[in-house]
Amino acid sequence: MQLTRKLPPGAAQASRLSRFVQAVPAGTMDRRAFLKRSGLTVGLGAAVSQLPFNMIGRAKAEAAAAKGGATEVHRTVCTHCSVGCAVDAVVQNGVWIRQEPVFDSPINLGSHCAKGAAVREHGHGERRLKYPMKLVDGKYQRISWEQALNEVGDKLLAIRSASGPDAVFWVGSSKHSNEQAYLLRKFVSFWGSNNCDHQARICHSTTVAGVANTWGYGAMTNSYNDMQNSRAMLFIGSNAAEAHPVAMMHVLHAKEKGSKMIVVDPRFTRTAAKADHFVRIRPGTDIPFIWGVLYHIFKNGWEDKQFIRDRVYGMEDVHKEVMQWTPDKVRDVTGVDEKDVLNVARIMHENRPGTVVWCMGITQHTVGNANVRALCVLELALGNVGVSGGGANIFRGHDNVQGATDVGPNPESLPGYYGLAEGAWKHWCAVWGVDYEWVKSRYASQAMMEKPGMTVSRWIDGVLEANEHIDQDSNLRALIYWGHAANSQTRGAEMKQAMEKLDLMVIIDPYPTAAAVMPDRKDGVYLLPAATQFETSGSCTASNRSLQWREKVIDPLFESRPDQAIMYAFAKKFGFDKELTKSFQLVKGRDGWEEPGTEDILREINRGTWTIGYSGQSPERLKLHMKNMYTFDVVTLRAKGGPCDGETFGLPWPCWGTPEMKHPGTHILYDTSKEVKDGGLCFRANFGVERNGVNLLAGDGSQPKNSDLDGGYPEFDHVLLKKLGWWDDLTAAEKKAAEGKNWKTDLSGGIIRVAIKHGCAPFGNARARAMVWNFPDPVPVHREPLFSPRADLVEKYPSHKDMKTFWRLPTLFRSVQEQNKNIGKAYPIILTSGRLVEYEGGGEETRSNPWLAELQQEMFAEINPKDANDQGVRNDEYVWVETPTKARIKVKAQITERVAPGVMFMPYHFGGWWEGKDLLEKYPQGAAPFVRGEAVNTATTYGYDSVTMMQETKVTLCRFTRA
Amino acid sequence: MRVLPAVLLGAALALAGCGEKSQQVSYSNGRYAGKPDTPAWAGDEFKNRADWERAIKARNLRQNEYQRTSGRGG
Amino acid sequence: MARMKFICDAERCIECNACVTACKNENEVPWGVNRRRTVTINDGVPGEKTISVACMHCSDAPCMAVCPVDCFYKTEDGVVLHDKDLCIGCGYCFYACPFGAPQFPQTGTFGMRGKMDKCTFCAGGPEADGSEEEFKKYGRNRLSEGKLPLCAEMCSTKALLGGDGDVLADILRERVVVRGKGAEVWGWGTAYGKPEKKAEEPKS
Repeated sequence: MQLTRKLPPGAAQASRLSRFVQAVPAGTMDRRAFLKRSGLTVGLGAAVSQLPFNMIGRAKAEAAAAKGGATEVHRTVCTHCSVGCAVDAVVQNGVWIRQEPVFDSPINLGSHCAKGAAVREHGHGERRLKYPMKLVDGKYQRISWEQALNEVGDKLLAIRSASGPDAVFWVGSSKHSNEQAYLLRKFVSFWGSNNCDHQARICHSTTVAGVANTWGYGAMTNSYNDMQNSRAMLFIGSNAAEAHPVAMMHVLHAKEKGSKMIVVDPRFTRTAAKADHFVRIRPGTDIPFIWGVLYHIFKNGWEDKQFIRDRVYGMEDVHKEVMQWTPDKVRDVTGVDEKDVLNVARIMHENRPGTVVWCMGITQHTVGNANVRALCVLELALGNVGVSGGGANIFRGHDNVQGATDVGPNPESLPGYYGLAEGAWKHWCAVWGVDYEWVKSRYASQAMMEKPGMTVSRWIDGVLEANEHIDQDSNLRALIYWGHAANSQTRGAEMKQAMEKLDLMVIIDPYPTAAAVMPDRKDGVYLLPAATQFETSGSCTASNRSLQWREKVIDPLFESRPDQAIMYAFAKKFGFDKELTKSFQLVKGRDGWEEPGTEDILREINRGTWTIGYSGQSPERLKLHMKNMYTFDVVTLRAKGGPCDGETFGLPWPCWGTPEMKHPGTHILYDTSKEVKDGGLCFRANFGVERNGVNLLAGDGSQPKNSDLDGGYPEFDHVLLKKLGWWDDLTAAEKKAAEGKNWKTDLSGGIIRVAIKHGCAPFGNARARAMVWNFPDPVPVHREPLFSPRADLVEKYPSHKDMKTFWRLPTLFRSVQEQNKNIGKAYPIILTSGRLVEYEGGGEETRSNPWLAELQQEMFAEINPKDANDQGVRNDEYVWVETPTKARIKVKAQITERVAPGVMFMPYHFGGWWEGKDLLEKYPQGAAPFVRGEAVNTATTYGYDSVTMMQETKVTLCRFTRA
Repeated sequence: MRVLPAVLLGAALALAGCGEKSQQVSYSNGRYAGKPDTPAWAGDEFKNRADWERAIKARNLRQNEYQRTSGRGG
Repeated sequence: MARMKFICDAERCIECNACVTACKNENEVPWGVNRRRTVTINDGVPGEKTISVACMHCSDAPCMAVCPVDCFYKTEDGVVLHDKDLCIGCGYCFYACPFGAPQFPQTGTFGMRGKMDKCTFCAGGPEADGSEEEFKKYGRNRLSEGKLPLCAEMCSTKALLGGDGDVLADILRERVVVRGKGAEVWGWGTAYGKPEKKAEEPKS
């Protein structure tokens, strides 16, 4: 007996419990028990031997504490997802010594997930890239910043003069602050190209395009907080419990108060474990499922007829398509029984307002744009849009992916969705204070200036594709990865080839990233250490469109530099530093470096971004909100009293007009129950006033509260103001600026001010479009994935026709699908991928954080027991997974019923292995992440959305064998 | 796994049955033998225990999101 | 009088592990030592439930009972602590503990080699409050700062609650009344014996 003393009462029961805790039965083993058994938790020796920087960091921290220097608290925001959790960082003598919860934040109320609770590790940064490095004869060598800037700069300039500015591709970052993302778009414009992009492409680009084309703006309509008002919550393709854990506080609070929670997913996720109803569908069949739900809604007359009549265009076209999706067809395609589909329809009907939540499970498909529109249509049919508790709660990914989409490096638009037409360029040149002709001279031609660039999802084809097939002069010759994980992109095997073919690869990042070790190159790679958001200041836009200001916590660690400082340094090298910083004051950074001040950059964003109302969020207003968080209501996000009285937290865009106009921000988009000046809105008039004789403007009686105009109206411009007799409401100065302009280009903001004064939305008042005529599928229709296990359905529901030039590249749909029609025989398992709570994106940053890395030490694949038994694979054994690309990856098998038979799931955060081999020795010394593993995307296949070039990550096929 | 303690217990009884002395030691909570500790409220920050408890209680309520979602402030 | 307790609301816990990393962060606990972790039952199938487990600071703590060198003590506010200078790393407490809380570091990076390490309810140890010595051996002393354990304060869904048992009971009672069904609070009976109030098993 282990106890030699008397057993205290209850000890017998106790020892039973302790076994329960220590050895969870095999049948119910969780991920961590699984990892423990995989033997990696004893890998402590390895971890400790690589601890030098940790020890330095800690020694410093302790020395500082011992000295008892004064402590300061800097308020910042977690950088790991779009929820926007506030963090109080306690700093002593320049060292980040503690992290305190911010209970005052109306968004997270002090809460964090594993990542947020571990952000202080950024103050240690033990596995950071510590100084500029250059690949010499296959090894990374330390170089000085001066050498790095000169060599990289000279090489880029040589490529520019030999092959033109479009021969370089700039991958920016959704982890940049608004100011950095904006500055990068401006920077690339002055370089003379639209070849720039960032994570949003492979995250929610289909959402942004689909949702904006449906009702006006490409963003979450409501907020995490507002879900507390929802009576039903339909999660489809969203695993919030792992991807947005703090959002689950609001969700579970709502559920507690009686809201019905439905999860539709191919996987029984941790979110599903909390739901009232779980529906398992076959990956890639979202449209048939949604139409199946809508079928019952229409059949039973549960749609909101008044809402549709007043505020929706084209619902009858949808109706035709939907009624073809009879329950038997839905069942055949999706695998869901009629009773389950009807149950979802009934719950959504009986519990209004209801919201729909979606993430990558909806967006990352060849039909992503149609998937999102089908969900918008569902919400429109139920009359759930523009109401508190309803809406499309699109949970975005990175901390500033919304902001980088709004004002950052997008290949198809200048900041603020202005597009690339001449008028857009002239607008921004005026804001930047530069000559339009000069900017034009930087480009290869005016045509290239107005042609959308390539996308981050396809840069590999920009390198590998035959030159005659691409829609620009030169192939890509240089690539700059400025804060982006290569292993989060599909077709890794071909990416490696592309990386090896490039003349130059530059990685600007706090970490070396997987891109540093993927290619087998001897030279031509530079690593430049960037600072994290904790080492600079700036604003970031949460998923709900609220902006928050981050104070700088600590000085940049090691030799790292904030991105804006690096941009300015390169601009000097390229000779456009004066133009880049015309309206910015330069401030001194580390080691005498100069950088543009982040407040000034935000003020410039304010002065130019009228389209989406990024104009009212001055740095002063944002800082006031950060200081007075406690005055904001958690459910309405509205301040009660205090210096921000009546304003919505973070001034969610659109925050109309100038900062002086004091618009409170718009909590809920398209909410006609409020005045526009109080955050009310209607659907945007962006697609004309009529089509084929049908009125596109809102019906009579449908307008925001207290509007001087009844029913629909077009967007405001100088002509409309004059016609309405409101022109004289402008001041003399405003009149001068507004003459010949519209609400988007009037730099005085006068047109917007006057429209709102009369209770009108500056962007007009129209109907939402259930039928988006300018998209390949105006009404969403089902199309089988390119790699489908159902040859019969491929024939019935084929993909799009191939496109010859699409975002400058030939893009294949049907030909790939035809070629692989019967591939399901050889590759019978559907492969899908997704998130783990401990890691973010490609995972280099989070796998370099020991507090997180310890929790997920090995790459794995979830396999259903049936499939595992068919292959003779036991739990915890290595398997080789092979896809039709023939790429093979070696991962641990985790056998679980979380996935259905015939479906395999893998997380996408791992990297640093290549087809069974650990690439540890290829990393710069001391900068390899603690945990490395096979990247699922090494093996993923071809497939892109027909509007935005979103990559297909959620459905491909594979087979596996015991390793 | 679960039967193991019973088996061991059986063995112990069997030993006792053979006239062996019981190895079961009678239990009493030992007296703490280490360094004395000061209570949490002993520092300069708090006047006395009640003062500390008030602070802790106020802080504790922040773990309750109903405090702020039902409009009670705090 | 405040008695410190932890409870974890299984209806809320989503296995996000914020409690685990918050603990690592605040106490600089090294790799391999897990003062707190999450345990899931029925993983991946309907009925999946997770709870966060650490030292529960039991009312009648088995570890104190079995320690051969009597290195454990209980503070006036109910926190079970120990003196690492006295601990001989024998591991009896690990066997006695119903929650698997005591940890035994395998290297000398934290505290002393082989000495037991466990959750302190963020109350440090017998060294001077807030001293470097205390931090090195036991971690932060938040209680003496008027703060509560960081794991509970940072819990993503406010599933893990830590603090005065009476306050926790009130918080939970409010939730259960709103939910209209019983709370699934794991480990209460084991750690704290019979409820002092009926709070943790309120009527639905």
